[in-house]
Amino acid sequence: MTAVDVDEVEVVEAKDLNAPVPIGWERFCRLAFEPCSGTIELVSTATAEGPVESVVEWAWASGPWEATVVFDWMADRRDEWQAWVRLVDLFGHDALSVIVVEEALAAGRQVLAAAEAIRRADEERRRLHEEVDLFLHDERGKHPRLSLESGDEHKPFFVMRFTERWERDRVVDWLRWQKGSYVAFRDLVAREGAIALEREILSAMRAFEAAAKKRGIASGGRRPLRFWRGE
Amino acid sequence: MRAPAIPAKAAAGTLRLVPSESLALRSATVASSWTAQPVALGLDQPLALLGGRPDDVRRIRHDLRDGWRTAAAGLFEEVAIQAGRPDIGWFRMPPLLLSGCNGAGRTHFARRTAQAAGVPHVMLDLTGKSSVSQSRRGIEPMFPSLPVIAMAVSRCANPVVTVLNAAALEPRVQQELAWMIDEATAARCSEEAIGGFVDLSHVSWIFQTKVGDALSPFLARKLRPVHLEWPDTPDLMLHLVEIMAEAVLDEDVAQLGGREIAETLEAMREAAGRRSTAELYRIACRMVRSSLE
Repeated sequence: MTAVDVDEVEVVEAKDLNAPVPIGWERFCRLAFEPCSGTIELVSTATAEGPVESVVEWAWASGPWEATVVFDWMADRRDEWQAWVRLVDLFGHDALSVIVVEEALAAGRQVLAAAEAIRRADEERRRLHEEVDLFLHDERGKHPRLSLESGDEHKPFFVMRFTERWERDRVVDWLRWQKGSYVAFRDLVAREGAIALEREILSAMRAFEAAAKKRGIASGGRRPLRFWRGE
Repeated sequence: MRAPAIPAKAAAGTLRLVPSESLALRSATVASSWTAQPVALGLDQPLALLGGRPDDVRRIRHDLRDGWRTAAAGLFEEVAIQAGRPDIGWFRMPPLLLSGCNGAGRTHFARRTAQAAGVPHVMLDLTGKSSVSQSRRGIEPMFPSLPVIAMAVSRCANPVVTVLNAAALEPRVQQELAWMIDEATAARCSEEAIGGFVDLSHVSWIFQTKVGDALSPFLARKLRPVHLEWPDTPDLMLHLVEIMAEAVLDEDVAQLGGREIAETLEAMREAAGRRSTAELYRIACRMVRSSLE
């Protein structure tokens, strides 16, 4: 964060916390928070009759998390302060405690639950992102193709099309055993594009096929690695 | 008539009600007989002029001016200053023309005003069920008019009188009403039912109409217009709190816990979409009653 940003944040906070809210004829209300003791006070100030007199209309104290949640909730609802002071005037502070504290804590717990849900969703998305799968496509009237797709996405990041099905299967004979490299393939696509990965796959496959023939583990025909089961 | 109860700043979780039957500082004799006979209903005895004690003035300021209808804040400040003056020292509002659509809270306004000032509130419905009827000869009294009965029963010379459906009366009859509220003539109104003159100059009149120009100009000129509207979102909670306070006083509930208050407000908030103060009041009364069971 830059120095300018810090200044802007401070100005906004100072305005929110210190500006009293008018709650009637020359009567104002402000919200005070003492973080050390976790005490929140709703304070009214009357300026109409004689010297300025501040009255603590409502006070509540709790642990740091609860106090911060309740204070933030109340601070966000400045237009309700007048009604709250009136409620305390008429019915005492218990009524406001029930209304404000319970609603604020429920909202706070809801925010926590939502944040936890987002965290879990992010975690799951990251986990799925690390899962890349190979898909084969044989649709009538279309060229056979293969694709690589991340678990958190609905579209493949790489598609390779072939004229004949056996050509696709020849590549798959090698590619299906390279699962550990799929994430690196995705990085390559992101870095250099799909053509680069296509070239990389074909050259690596051919190099391996040649090595397999030398080792005598290749089968004959168009798909030398047809019966290879990986290493 | 039950003596009006007055809310005081409550202890934790309770509404403390303080009866207003304490000593009245001022009094007035509101009736004089046409004959040597005493006036009926004891109206020739002094009646209290309420609403001038320091507590009353403080409530007029805080309940009405500070906490409530900001549209009428200036009016209530005038009333509070007048009620607090040593040479006056009792509650009286200028006659009001209180307009607003159905559900806006006109009756609630009138009742809360009377409650805050600690004076009785009377509804005077002019649709034919009242003590005033129309004929070719003008207003014919059958019984003492409701304001007079209210003064006699409550022993208070300055009640708040809400007049309903005055717009339905002929202009000539509305003119008669105007004389009843005019400062120059209100002090000497003929009341055949009690056989004397009645002084209505201490009464605070509130004429309710849906629209501001419903009354005859002669009567409307004597009234100060106040227009009520259904509160916007920020003020809705304030409105609900005031309706609940009215219900708690009417149900004569001395103690109401924070949980019950919160539940009542929640039930009222759910029904607030129908924009009817009367319905919210009924809900509040029902909830308050059920909390006592």
